[in-house]
Amino acid sequence: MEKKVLELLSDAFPTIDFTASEELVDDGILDSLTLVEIISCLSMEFEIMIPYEEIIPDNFNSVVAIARMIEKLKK
Amino acid sequence: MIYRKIRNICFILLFIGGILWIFITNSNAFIKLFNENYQYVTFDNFENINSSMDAKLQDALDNKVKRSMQDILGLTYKLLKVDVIGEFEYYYCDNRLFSLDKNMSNVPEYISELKELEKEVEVYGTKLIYVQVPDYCSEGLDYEMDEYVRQSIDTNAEIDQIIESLDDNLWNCFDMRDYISNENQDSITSDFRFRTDGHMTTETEWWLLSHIVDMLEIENKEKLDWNCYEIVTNDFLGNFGRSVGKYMLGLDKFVRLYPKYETNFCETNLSTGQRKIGTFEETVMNGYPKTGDAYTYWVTDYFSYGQAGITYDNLLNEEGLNILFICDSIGYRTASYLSLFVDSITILDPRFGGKTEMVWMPYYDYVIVMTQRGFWDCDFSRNLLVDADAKILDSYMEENQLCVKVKNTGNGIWNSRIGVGLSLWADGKDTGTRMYIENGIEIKPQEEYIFRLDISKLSFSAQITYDLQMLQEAYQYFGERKGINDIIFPRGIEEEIN
Amino acid sequence: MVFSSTIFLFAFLPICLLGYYLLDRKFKNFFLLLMSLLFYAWGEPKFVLLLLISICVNYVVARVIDARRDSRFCTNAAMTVMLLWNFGLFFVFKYLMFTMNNLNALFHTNWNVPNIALPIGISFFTFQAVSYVMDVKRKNCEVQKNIFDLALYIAFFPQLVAGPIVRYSTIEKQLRERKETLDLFYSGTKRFIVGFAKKIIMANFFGIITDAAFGVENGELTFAMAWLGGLGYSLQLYYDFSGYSDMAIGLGRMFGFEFEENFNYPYIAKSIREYWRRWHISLGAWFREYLFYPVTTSKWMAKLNKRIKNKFGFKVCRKVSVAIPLFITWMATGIWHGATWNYVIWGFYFSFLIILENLGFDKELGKIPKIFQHLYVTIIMLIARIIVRTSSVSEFASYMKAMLGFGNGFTNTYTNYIWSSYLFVIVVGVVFCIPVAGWLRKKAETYVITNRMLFILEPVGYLALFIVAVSFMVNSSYNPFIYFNF
Repeated sequence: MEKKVLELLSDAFPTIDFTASEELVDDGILDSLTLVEIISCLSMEFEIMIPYEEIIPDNFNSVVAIARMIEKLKK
Repeated sequence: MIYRKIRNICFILLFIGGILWIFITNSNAFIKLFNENYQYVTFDNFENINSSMDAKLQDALDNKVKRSMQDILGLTYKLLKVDVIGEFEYYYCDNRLFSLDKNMSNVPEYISELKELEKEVEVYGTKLIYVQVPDYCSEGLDYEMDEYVRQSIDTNAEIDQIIESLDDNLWNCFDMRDYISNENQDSITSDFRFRTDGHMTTETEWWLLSHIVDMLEIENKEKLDWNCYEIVTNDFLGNFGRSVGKYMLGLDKFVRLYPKYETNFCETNLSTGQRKIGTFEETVMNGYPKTGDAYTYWVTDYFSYGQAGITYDNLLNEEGLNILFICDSIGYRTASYLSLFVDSITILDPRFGGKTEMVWMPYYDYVIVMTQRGFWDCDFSRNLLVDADAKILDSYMEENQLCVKVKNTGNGIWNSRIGVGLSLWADGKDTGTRMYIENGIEIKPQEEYIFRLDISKLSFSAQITYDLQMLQEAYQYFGERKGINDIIFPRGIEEEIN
Repeated sequence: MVFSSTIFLFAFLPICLLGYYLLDRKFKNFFLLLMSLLFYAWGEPKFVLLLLISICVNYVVARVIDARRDSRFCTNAAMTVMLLWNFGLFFVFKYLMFTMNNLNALFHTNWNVPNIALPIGISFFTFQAVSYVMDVKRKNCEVQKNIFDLALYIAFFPQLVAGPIVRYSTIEKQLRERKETLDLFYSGTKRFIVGFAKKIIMANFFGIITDAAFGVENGELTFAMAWLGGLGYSLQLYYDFSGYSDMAIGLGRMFGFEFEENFNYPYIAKSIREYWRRWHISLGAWFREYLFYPVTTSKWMAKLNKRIKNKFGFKVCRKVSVAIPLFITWMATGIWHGATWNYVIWGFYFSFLIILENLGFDKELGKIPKIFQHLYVTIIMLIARIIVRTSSVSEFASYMKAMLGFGNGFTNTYTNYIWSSYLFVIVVGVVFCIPVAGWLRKKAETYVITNRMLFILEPVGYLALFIVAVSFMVNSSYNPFIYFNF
């Protein structure tokens, strides 16, 4: 899952290095606009609905966290 | 670490301590202020009282604190190289302040005042002297002013206009602008005015005095020598400088001269009739202490500030001249010291109601008028209409306007400048409502004029009797008094309008 | 009450500090609440009641939501009540007159437009209350069972009147568990002094300059004066608003609270996107959390996205899914500032720019030299300032004409006069928009001698600055904040 997510995101956002840190949101690497576009990609690709309550730094700070969130939402 | 803690504690103590110190030392004044203002507080006016509290609190602050704050403010302006003080109150250059208030006033009106004066004295042969203090921007006074400032505060054109209008046969004109030079001994330089104040230095006023003594053809000039006087010099922070404190410009030096020789004067206040007899210091001067601080406004140690007119009779110089001196504070000191050279001098300050009809014109040998910019909307000439009379020909309503046709059946020309109009009376008392003549219009004898009043904003009651009468404001009522109830309330309809 | 006033500095603040530090921990919050209400009532005796009612409504709604999380009906009903109350209030007091005037103009009707006074701070405390309830709903924080603590959060005087908009989650713990330390108080005092000086010295000077420039008669505006006006207004807004935020943060620290930063040298930004992460940060954060994200994750947005993806493909959908919420958010941000057409246009203006940058323009921007990036931001912001400061389209047009060089010539005597009278202040103002102070300090700390000097110079310098600022305050009659009518 993580590999898939990393591939998808690196493809869609070539300028961002998603492995650069474990605090992607807190460090400012992903800002709100990027986040929304990521959500767009993820919801299209994995056919999930990411609700408002899930837009927290914990869910997007690293590829691992994103993968975890997707698994959770798939259920 | 411990040093850091100590330092931080000291800082916080100083900060809080400073605020508390101001709070505590002014607490009496603050509490008094609160009590006064909140005595009648209600839910409705709470907000209003609050909004004015801050300015009042600032005023109530201890003087020493306020002055230190002003000093610091001025110093900061200087360090930040800001030339404009406050919101365009003063302009700073050449280590002095210039008032940015041009205050032009009405030059044509002023010229007509001077013309009235000419008419008054022509009959009696009194001689006229006009003294003109230099404008800030006169040629030769080379302050390094910004061009825009120079243009906007330059009143030389207006001064030229005034001087030009004077009748050469009647006036001896002393234009100080002709004496500006940096070389000639008999001249005034750029320092003729204080740096922190709008008035001229004592040295300059004395220079002017010596020229006036010449013009008056007074032969005994011994008293012009400063050796006859005790010279007292004080630090002085003038009225301009009060807003920026004493560090921005430094302090001026104010020189006062006390005659060493014997003097004896009788002072008569023309408004109250009160008399006082004493020496020069006791009468002409106001007895300010010889050792005051820089905040004492020494300029007002001469003449009596706020009075319309005072006559000083020099009881030791009965053969001297009688002078009428019309001026504002720019001339106080010259006029005061002139009293030592003449028999009597009457100083009239038009700003406080000084007018020529307070004096008996034939008594005077000379009338001296001394002005500076800002003085020109004052009224000093005899305006009183003599043999004024009027007849109210007709009155009618036109839409919301009450129209009254009046004929000038007396002598004298009516115009708004001398306060001629119609007054509205209710139950035998002047209501204060006026109908005026339009600006610029003159009504000569036998001419008619229609006065108009918009009554839509006033309220009338049919139970009250209303009349109209012509008046000259502050001087006289004249002509017939006519009732107008039947015009305001058309016959048969008793209603309240508005 | 205003921070830069004699009554606040020499009466309210000492009493507040004394009371706070003398009282027992149990009473500290309540005392601050009372003082805050007094602070508000000083300027708005009638509206303080409104504030109290608003606090009660929001308290009840949050309790209901927390108690009945099981029932979707209850939580939705409670949310609806909260939104209707808060935004209804906001609409009525801020936008009703504007709306009615425009409806009258549009439909040629003559409905009586009531004259409604704007309660000070309504834009701030309303938004704070909304952030609290929404955070409770999405379980970002615990519900506040003590109504006085909640009231303190909403009405605390440092941020009540002009921000920063404090999100409840950031100070939740601090309400009960804060510690007032010496270091915090020290840094708070320094912050307060800096803000005070910015407001009363810098913002005042630039206010005079701006008024001079915008007060010039139509047709007399020169190129140099037009630019001075733009520069002056930008600096005035910055020093006024960031100064106020500094004072708020400083005061908060004096009472043990740590608020988040609201300004981070916005004028060194290299793109508009970056600018808005540095200017009025708390506002951007609020709109992001409570408008932007909810819109992007809403059901109707998802439906719209699906339709666009099916029609135009994924690449377009990805950009549109951002653009539409962006537009909505920026229009809202615009009209939050004020109920005027200026701000509507302002909203369009920034929506357009941010969407443009998002569509790839920022990549292009990143390629040009830094100096041009700064220039781009400067010019965009200057235009935005002028949109806000001019009061009609014609005034705006003639101002822009002058800025482009088609006004009354390059310069004239009046322009020279204003420039030369304030030149040094202008330079100082521009310099301190850049983090010079921080840079100088770091340099000083690397050398032992200067480091030692700094140890004493720092408190001395701040005290001197405070005294100078007080001298400005005591010698003026009135110093309102620009953002006071928000």
